Amino acid sequence: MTRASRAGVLLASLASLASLAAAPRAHAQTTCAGGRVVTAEGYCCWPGQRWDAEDLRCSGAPSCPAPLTAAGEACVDGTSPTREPPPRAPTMVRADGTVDYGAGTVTRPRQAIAAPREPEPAATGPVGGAWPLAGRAPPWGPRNPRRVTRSIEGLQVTGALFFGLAYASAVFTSVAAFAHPGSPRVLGGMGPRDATCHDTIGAFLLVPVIGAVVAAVVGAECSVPLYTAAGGAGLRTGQTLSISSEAEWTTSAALSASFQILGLGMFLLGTSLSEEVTVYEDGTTRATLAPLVGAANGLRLTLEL
Amino acid sequence: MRRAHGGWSVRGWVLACALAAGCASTPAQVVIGPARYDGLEQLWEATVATLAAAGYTPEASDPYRGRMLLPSRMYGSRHRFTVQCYREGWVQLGYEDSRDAHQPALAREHLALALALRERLHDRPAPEPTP
Repeated sequence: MTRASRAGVLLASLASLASLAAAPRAHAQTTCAGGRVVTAEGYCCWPGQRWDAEDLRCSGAPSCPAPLTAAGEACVDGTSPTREPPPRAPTMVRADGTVDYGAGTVTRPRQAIAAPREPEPAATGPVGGAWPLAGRAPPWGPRNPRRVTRSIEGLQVTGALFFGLAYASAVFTSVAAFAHPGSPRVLGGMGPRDATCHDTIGAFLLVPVIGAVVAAVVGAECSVPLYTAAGGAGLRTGQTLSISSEAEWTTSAALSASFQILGLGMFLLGTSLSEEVTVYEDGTTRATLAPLVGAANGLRLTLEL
Repeated sequence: MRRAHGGWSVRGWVLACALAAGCASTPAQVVIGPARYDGLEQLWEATVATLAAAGYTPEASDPYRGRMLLPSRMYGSRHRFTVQCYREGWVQLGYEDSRDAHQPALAREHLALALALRERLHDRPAPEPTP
């Protein structure tokens, strides 16, 4: 190799090094050299570029300070050969590549993992040199999963929903029963009206669970004596007035009783049984109801904030 | 009319299967931390050690950028998990392909790995203050 050719090789090497230095290899910095500026994330990019947190590189068309000129997403010296920006494929190196933690540097990997796209220049630098900054908020995703054994909350919630809806229906039925004017108490449809059976059903329906059961049974059996008008006086007859012809009252009470019992059963089952589930520290507020057996038996309500 | 009922039945089954598949998935990304370590190197070493203890050898590793690529341990699986470390001490575990989150077996493996990382990185006591 002649002296001239050696000088050419040396100049080419220096030019390559210069272009490598100009490539958008960013680090979290407070000050930047070579005309680059600090982004909001603390990385050095060329003016006009932004920090791509996903690809961990500067992206966008740069506004290169003189005497540099834009070449793709890099600013290069006009005399230096241009270099394409790194591809989007993540840079990964063989895990069996030598890593020197003691010196705080990572050696160049022996072989790059075959990526589906063009490989990015190998990463070199201290461990953590280009780790991304999460900022004030943690990275996206639920935090810190853990396995806990707790009541079957799905069954509890479903049971509570069943019970609540059934009891609400019972209350509405009760109001309707109280508001019912009743049936004529005198034979022939004239005279005062009697709403004893309706009121009885309405009163029982206000009692949860057992009240609806009683209302369904009592409603079917309830009867009051009928009177006949004779000479301005009311005479009791052997006939009775019942609401058996108004089956909707007893049907409604029976349905409400069934769903209240079903809901209560599901809730108690969900409370007494337990399952292992995964929970995350997502910062949500939740209440847990679980059986407590020990010095004192009962239910324990836990509120997590 | 019967055909219409059959169509609704098929749609119902499809919807039920979709719901079941959705219920079987785990979050596409799980975040562990922030881990309390003296430095990023210690966090990186602890992460690697935790993964090794769980039986995972990174297929690719980039300590400079804080990334790792972990092959699934399921027999015959070509799916991979990703690990991304953050300067604040967070370690993010995800799927290389986010659609993998809907595969129950992979979701279980992902969750087991996340639990192992949390136990080792997040639940450890704070380092002793240096005089």
